[in-house]
Amino acid sequence: MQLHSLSLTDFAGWKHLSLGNLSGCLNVLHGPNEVGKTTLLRFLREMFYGQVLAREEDLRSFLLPRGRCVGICDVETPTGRYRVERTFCLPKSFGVKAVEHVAVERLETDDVVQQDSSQGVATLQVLLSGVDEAIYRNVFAFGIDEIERLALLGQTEAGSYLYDLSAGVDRVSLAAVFRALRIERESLLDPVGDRGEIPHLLAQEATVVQQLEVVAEEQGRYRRILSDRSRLETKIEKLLAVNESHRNRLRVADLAATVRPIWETMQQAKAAFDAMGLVVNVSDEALARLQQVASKKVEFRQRIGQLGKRLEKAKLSLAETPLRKALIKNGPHLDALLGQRDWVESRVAQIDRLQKTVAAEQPQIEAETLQLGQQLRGAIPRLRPAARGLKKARVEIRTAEARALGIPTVPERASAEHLTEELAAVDKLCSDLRRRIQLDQRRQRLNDTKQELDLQREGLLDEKVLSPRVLLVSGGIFSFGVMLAFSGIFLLSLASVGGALLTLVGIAGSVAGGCLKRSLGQAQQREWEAVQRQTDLLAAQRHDAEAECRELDLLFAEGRGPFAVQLRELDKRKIQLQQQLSEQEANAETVSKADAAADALQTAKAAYREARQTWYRALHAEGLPAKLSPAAVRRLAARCREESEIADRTNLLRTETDSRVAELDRFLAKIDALLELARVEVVIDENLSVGHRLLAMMDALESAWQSQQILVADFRRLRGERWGLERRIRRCFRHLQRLDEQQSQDLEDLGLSADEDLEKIALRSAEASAHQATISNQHSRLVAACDGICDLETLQKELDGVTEEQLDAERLQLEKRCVANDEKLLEYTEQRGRLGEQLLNLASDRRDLKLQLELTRIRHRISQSISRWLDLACTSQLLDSIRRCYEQQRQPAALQEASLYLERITEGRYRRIWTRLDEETLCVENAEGHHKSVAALSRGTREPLMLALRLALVSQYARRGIRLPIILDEVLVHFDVRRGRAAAELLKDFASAGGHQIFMLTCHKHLVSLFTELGADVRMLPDVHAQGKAGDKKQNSKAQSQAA
Amino acid sequence: MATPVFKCIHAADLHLEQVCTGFDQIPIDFLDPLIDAPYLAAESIFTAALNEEVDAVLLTGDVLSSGEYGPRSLMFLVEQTERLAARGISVYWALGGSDPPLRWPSAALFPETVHRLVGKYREVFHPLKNGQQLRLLGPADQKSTVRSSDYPTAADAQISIALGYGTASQQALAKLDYHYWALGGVHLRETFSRNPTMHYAGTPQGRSPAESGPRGCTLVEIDSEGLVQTSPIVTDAVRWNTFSLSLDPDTSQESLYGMIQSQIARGIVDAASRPLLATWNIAGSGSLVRSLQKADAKKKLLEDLNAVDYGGASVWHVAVEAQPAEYPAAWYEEETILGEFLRSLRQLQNEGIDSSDWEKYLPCGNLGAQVAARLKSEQNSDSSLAIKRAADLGVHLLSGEDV
Repeated sequence: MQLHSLSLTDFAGWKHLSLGNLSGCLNVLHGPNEVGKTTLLRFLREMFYGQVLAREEDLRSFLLPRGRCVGICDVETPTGRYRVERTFCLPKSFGVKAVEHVAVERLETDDVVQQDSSQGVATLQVLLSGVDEAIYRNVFAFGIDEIERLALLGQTEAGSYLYDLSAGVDRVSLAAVFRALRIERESLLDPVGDRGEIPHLLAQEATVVQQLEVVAEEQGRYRRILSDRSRLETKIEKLLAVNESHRNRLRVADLAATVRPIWETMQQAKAAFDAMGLVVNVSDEALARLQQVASKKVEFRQRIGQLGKRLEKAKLSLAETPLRKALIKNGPHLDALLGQRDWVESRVAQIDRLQKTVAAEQPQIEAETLQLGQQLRGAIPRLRPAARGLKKARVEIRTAEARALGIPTVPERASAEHLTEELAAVDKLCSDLRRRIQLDQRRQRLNDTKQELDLQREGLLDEKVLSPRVLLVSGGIFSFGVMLAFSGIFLLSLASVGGALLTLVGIAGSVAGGCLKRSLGQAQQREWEAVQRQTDLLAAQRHDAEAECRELDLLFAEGRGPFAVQLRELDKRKIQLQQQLSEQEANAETVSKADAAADALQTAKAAYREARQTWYRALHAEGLPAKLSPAAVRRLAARCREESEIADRTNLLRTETDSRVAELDRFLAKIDALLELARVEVVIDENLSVGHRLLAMMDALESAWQSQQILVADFRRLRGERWGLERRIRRCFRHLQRLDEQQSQDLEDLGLSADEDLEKIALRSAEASAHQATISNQHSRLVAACDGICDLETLQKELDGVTEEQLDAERLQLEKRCVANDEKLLEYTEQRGRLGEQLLNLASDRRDLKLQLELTRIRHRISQSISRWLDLACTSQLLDSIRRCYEQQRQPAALQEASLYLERITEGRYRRIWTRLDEETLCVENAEGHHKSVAALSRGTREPLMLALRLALVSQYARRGIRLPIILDEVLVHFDVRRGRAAAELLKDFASAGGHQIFMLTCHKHLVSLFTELGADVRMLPDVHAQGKAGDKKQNSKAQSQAA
Repeated sequence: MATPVFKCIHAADLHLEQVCTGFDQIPIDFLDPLIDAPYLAAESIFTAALNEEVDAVLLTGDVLSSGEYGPRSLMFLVEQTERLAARGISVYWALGGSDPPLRWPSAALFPETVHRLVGKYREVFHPLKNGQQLRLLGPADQKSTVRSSDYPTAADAQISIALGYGTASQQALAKLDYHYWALGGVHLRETFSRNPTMHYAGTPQGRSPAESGPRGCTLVEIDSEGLVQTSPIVTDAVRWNTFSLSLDPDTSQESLYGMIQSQIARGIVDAASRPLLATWNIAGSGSLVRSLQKADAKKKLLEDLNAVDYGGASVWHVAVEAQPAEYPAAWYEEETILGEFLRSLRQLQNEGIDSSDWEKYLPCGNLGAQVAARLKSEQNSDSSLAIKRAADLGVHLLSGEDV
């Protein structure tokens, strides 16, 4: 963007200023001090970015004589020329927003000017390529006072932005990265002081460790407590042992005092026993055994006598028992034959039953019956046809009766003719109703059609007057034709053929236009007439329909509802009538069937009567009773057959009876033979039948055999008894012999003869035993008394040779010692309990664990913080090495370019500008390779540096397509002549080579001369004071006139 | 397996005095459970011994720390061994590196059923149910290596158990024909040989996020043929659990929360009503993973997670660790500060971090020396990880995400 012209009115000191045809390269505006150069700089800034009244002082210093002013700038951009008009207003007080107005007008176009302020600002921002105010103020438009601000980049946001822009070599500013790393690192561990999280945590750790040591020291007492407790337990154990010993001795002394009478009794018994001298030692057991042997011997002798008597008696009974040897010999045969008794009994019963059956059936069989049977067997073939005829007639009668019963009775109904008539009437009424409904529908359709036709007719009526377009077209054609015709007539005089043709075409065109209008009008008329005809036809049809409706309406009664409802009811009635008519027809058919069935029944009955007569005649011919029915004849014949069969069966039974009797006869012969062999005599009644005789013989034989078996059993029992008695007698003799031997042996063992008195020996022995028992008893009591206290020897020592008084004295002494030991033991136990309690208290103390937990937590945090610090330090170190490399080799292009400008201005004294990436400072390198920071430079060097840096930045912006007017206010004022000239040449070359528009504001004539020499566009600014005075005069005169 | 003739509980590394670590803040609800956790876990071992009606309890080292044990741990151990003694259960305690030495005055407090095995008192015989005797042989000293030369070859006819402390070599010990090697000194439960069985019981209670998952002791059953069967018994009172998440580049914050909730639900079930201390290890790529490498984002995530109510379950999210990211190869080739930085890091990974790289940032004096000492230990612990973290930090700063 370049300024083409500018004008301002009432802006601060400027009453009016207008500059036109500004150069696109270097413009030098000069004037004396206070001419308004800085105001012009401010005006241009605020034209683009609006007022900046940050403080109340700004409000007071910013003078708008009339409260508002208007500035206009014509600018040229790659997209065209624009006029920017901004109206400045001052707020009444600080803090109140001033309402400004910005308008951007595109010149050389017909577009509407953008009047809206917000749109104007937006358009202006586009023209400024999005460069914000801060960058514009610090890079493009600055004065001598502001040139230094670049040296304090870290202090303002714009400066920081500029600095970052100059230093940025990557996605982010490395300085910002270093700053972030340093801040976080120092928040963890400040290298200067003891601040930071890590020292804080270390202090916490030390505190907790100290607390832990205190707690550990307190808890360390448990070792001493354990030691004390261990010593106490040793003492208690020793004391318990001593006490136990004393108590044992005391218990023994007490025992000795208690058992002294027993001891004395035992001693007396021992003395008596010793006094008895030698005693044959026959024990009670041996004595009792001897006496028992003697008594057993007597007992066995008595038993032998009794058994001998019983043996004699058994022998006698055996000799008297009557046994029949022949019978006993044939005993097996007898058992075998008697075992067939059941078979014989069944045969006898069978024969009896057969004989009874034969006897019972015999009377039923009569000769007459057999004769009648023979007669019937001959007559039955002859009677069969008559019987069949009779049966057939009966069947026919039943069939006819069933058929007659199967026909239902027919109820009385209305006559068929009446129903038919009613059905016809209803049918006609239905058809009339349907016609009526159809007529209604037709009328409705006709009405609809009529309405459509009416609408169509109205439309056609409207269309009778032709539309303007048609009229215009036809009129146009007609007029064009007339015009051509007149043109042809006019040209006819000039060129006969062309004019004639043109006249003809014109006439044809006008005719065509007229014909077109006429044909269109006629077409509309024809269409309208057709619609009219249709309307008339519809009216006639509608009239006919209405007449017919009226005729039909006379047929229907009123008040029965709509026709559709009436039609539905009539349809229902019609269906009912049709059903009734069909039922009537079915009833007539049933009646005819019933009549036919009655006739068939009568016929069947007559046939039956005839067949019955035939049957009677046949019976009479055979000589049978007339009252017999065919069924009775059949039953009679069957009866005769049965009796014949019974006679046959009786004969068979007789034959079987005879065979059974023969079998029994054979068995009887065997029995007789056996009786003879067994020599058994049986008396039998000869009148009995063979079977019963046989049974009687078997009964007799069985009883004889059973009695004989009883005798045999008695014999065997007696024989066994005799043998048993003999064995027992022999056993008693053997026992007696053994007792004798035992008695001899026992006496021999005791050293006694068989003649000595066992009773005396027993008495002496008993006395000695009594003494021994007394000794043993007292000894046992002493042992029992010693149980768990001491052994018997200790007790004997305590009793033997010790008097009762001595014993009591010893007991008293021991009791005193025990009491003293118990008291000591109690004291030690209490001490141990107290120590145990202290130990438990220490064991339940959790302070150390809590502190340990806290310590681990702090150490974990320390570890994390240190780890983080290490990460930060490593990263910083790495980046620092990278920074050094970049500072040497990879300075930004802007600084490289600025270095060239600086070298040119300083004529090679300073050849490089560079920046530290970790700090927001600039350095310069002189021709000798020495580096200096900006702060270390003199003003005369610092200002060229800043100018060079800004020109480099402008160049960087230009490379990105951003070109804005550069306004420099007295920036060369501190340059010496040589540097001033070099700077002027640089600015001239920079403007012309880069296409930058530069406004150089200066009051110094030598600079003006210099720029004039270089060919810059140099303009003298008008004297603002002269303008102001003229303005004041005008205002005063205006005020005076207003006052007059 | 036939009916066992010897049944015992094998436990190790009780470290009764060692508290839990690995968190930078402790919620008040977790204070008591964390303090009591080692004791509750140890008590569970002795209770399991009583419930299982074992013949003996084998403790293979690091039960107490000789320099740190206090009255609480001592009295606790005495009380627990007396519980076992009342039921006639012997305790065979192979002394480990941190256990009190053999000549320990307080040993007299223990009941007679407690046998401390080391040195010349390292061999004992335990009567078996079948009338035979089982031989138990402890370590020769309290060093942290199980040396095969310290253990004589076992007799064929007798069932033998060797108790050891420290690292062991499977091949060397297998030749000695012991039926069971009860080992301690390694906190992770491990059976590194099955024939013969060589087993580290592990610590009964995890103390830090590095010891995540269920912890406990081992039930050992030996039959008359010398066949050994081991079964784990979980005893930890507080469950550490490290959950790993792998995020896609498209994973959103909501998806991450969903994944975390899903994992934590399973963790709560696994913990079975124990207080759960969760650590999150997040790997993958994408902006979410990169953002989680910042301390603020981690802190925010932890705060959000700890604000969630898990329906009465005690859950505390201890830490979120985002794995160092892998960067595209093209970044290393860039002619930018970032590219230069990454290339320098690559070089640093080969050469390692030198203390001179960070010493200049340290303050002078005692504080600097103190921090330097800690830094050296920190640096030695995981140097490559520190470099990776530095890489992440630098990349974040240079990519403009964190400035």
